[in-house]
Amino acid sequence: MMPIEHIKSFILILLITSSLVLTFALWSDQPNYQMQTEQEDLIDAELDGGVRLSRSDVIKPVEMIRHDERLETPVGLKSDERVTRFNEALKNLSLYNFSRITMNDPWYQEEPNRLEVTFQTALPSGVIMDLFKVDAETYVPSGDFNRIVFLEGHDLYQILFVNDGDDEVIVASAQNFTQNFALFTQIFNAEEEPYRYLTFEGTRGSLIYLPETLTKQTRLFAYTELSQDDFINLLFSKPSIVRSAYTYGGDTNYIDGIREMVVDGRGIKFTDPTNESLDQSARRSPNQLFDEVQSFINTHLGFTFKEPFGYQLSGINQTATSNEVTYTLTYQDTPIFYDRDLTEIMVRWHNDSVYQYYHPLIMMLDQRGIGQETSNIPSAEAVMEILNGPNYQGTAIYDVVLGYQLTEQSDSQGQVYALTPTWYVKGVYGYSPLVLPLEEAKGGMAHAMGSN
Amino acid sequence: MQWGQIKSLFIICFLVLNVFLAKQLIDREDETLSALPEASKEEELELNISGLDQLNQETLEAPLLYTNSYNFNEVENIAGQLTNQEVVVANDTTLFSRLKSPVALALDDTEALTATLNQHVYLGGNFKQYRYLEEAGLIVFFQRINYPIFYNTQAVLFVKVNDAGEMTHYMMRALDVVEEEQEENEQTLITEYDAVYRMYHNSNILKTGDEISEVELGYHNLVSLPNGEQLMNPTWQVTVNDTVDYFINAIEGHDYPQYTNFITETLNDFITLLTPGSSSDYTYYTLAEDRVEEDTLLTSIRQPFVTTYHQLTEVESE
Repeated sequence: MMPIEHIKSFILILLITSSLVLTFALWSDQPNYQMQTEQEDLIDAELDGGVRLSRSDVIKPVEMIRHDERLETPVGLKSDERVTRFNEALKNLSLYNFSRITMNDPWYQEEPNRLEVTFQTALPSGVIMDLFKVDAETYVPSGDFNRIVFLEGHDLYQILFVNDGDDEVIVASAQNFTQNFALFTQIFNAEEEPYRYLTFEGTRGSLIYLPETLTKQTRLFAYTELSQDDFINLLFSKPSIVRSAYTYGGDTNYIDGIREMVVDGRGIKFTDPTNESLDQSARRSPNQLFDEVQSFINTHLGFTFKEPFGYQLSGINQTATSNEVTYTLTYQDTPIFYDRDLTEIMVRWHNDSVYQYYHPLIMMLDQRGIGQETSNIPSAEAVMEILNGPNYQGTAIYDVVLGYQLTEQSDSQGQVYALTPTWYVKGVYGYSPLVLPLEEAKGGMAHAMGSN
Repeated sequence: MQWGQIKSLFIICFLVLNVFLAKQLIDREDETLSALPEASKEEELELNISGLDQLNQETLEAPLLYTNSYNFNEVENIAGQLTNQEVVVANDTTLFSRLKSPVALALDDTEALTATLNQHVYLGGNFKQYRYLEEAGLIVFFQRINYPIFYNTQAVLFVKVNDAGEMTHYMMRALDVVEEEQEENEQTLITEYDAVYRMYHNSNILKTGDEISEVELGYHNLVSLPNGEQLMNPTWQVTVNDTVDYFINAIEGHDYPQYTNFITETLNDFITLLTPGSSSDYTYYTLAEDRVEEDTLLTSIRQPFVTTYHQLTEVESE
């Protein structure tokens, strides 16, 4: 009898224990389910086909110009190999002894032997650390620059960081400057047929360089579309609750009740209205702003391009109500200013997070067919004539660049995009296509007209 | 003894309770699993579109083609290859032919049809039947360069048949490969399944309930280059519900716009070249001995196609 009772007791204890375990399992099942749902929402989104770029990757000169008293015109580098060599030589330059001077008159323009490196936009002095070798402890004065001038044999200064719109200039010295300048000159002298430049004086008295020979061609490119879902996963904290609706204009609106993303087939425009107001006490310096935005874009591989395309920093704009950083698509380091929806990444960065984010949805791929000479593009001389003519009377001209414009090829049934060389003039509102006189505009360039 | 019975009772009770709890737990887990993943995009496609089973998942490669219009007047001894027909070539690139005696066509037998075309139509073996418009007595063929070239006004053959189903006239244009980008430029193509996937999810071309009838690889004009060349892109032709053809770029996956009046517009384009007073340059080959004036050949070729054109446009307007 006793052994049977023992067995029954044992079974009973076993059943009671297992019922407790099962009850606990049932009890704790629901919280597990919720955790899984949360994990599903926390998708670490990255854009397909995107890459990370360092700060120095997105700051490349637009022009590199050598002035030599023995040459009739300023010259520039033609071969890609020498451009790379020059950029590497620049990076290896060790700078020290920074200070700030006031330059009421751009006297450096009278220096017969000098090198000028110009950029698309005014850059904060903090990026000097990215462009050259500078000790972390070295004092670099605050300020902006869009032109670096290397002076050969000047009594006082070696390197100037000039902002065309400002009298304040940062000056610096370089280790072994004479040898390094000789190396720069050697790279330029090795170019058998360098690009020759015409010089035009801009509104601020700064020199604008226009290439005398136009070698850029019209090219056709296949493209791919980026996934809208990637942007939803990236920009909304709970992608699963995002709902979409079509607008009258044919755009798609994605909303999660607070944030909004408008997709028009060419790009996305995201807004987080709760982050609109800018906390003035936590304002960033332009350099910090650039750093934070660059990190934000890199985190989700936001630089979506395939070489030889790329992205370049094209503006850091801070106003009382907005912190804005823009990047422009480039082809072989030449900026593609239009159509902005297709070529510009814009981030409005407020209070340590994104307020607005515009990103193209189209990514250029391989070239299709061969490059075509562009016949109807005005020469540098013609451009200077136009700039001196009635169209630009009383208009600010800060820069003139032979860039590209990107448009859907008209007879390709939506299959390829055309990259066309186009003159751009930088005015108060940034770069806009050169406005041609009426009779020239009739020659098929009317589409290039209009201002920003 | 009583305590022993209570234990037995408890054992039974707990056994029942445990079975119940275990079932609850299993059900809950099943429920959780089915609730977690939403229907994937592939599942959504499979639920809404039929005919996906026949789609090939194999990844193919094909080159882009650079092509130029075929110049018939540059062919050495073309007349020797044109038997039983009178031919006029307009502007070097458009060939019109009138058969001296009609040739029977085996429309139901593809091989026999190709053999007949090969024998009686210049470059005929390079063309594949696309449509037979029986009421108008017109067969439309597309040229093949490894694969068919879809809807290209420069790569099309129109064959006029009489009531007995015999070929009486034809007119054509063809493309010639200028440069075939070789292996290093072979493009990896999206699969047939990917093409349909994009039609459903990206372009919203397909609607719930549609059936994929056939998918075929071919070429489509990507862009016409300023030097007169055409750049041809590998393209999937997806036939839906046996009625409508859609074209999907087989490299990047973009869709092409729909064609509406391709046959009538191209037919009209051909006929215009024969219209009296047109500025076309004509070259005649193998004219019949009894033909006194060359111009009469133009009229005798033009007239049957004009009738066909009117029949087609009347049907369209109805």
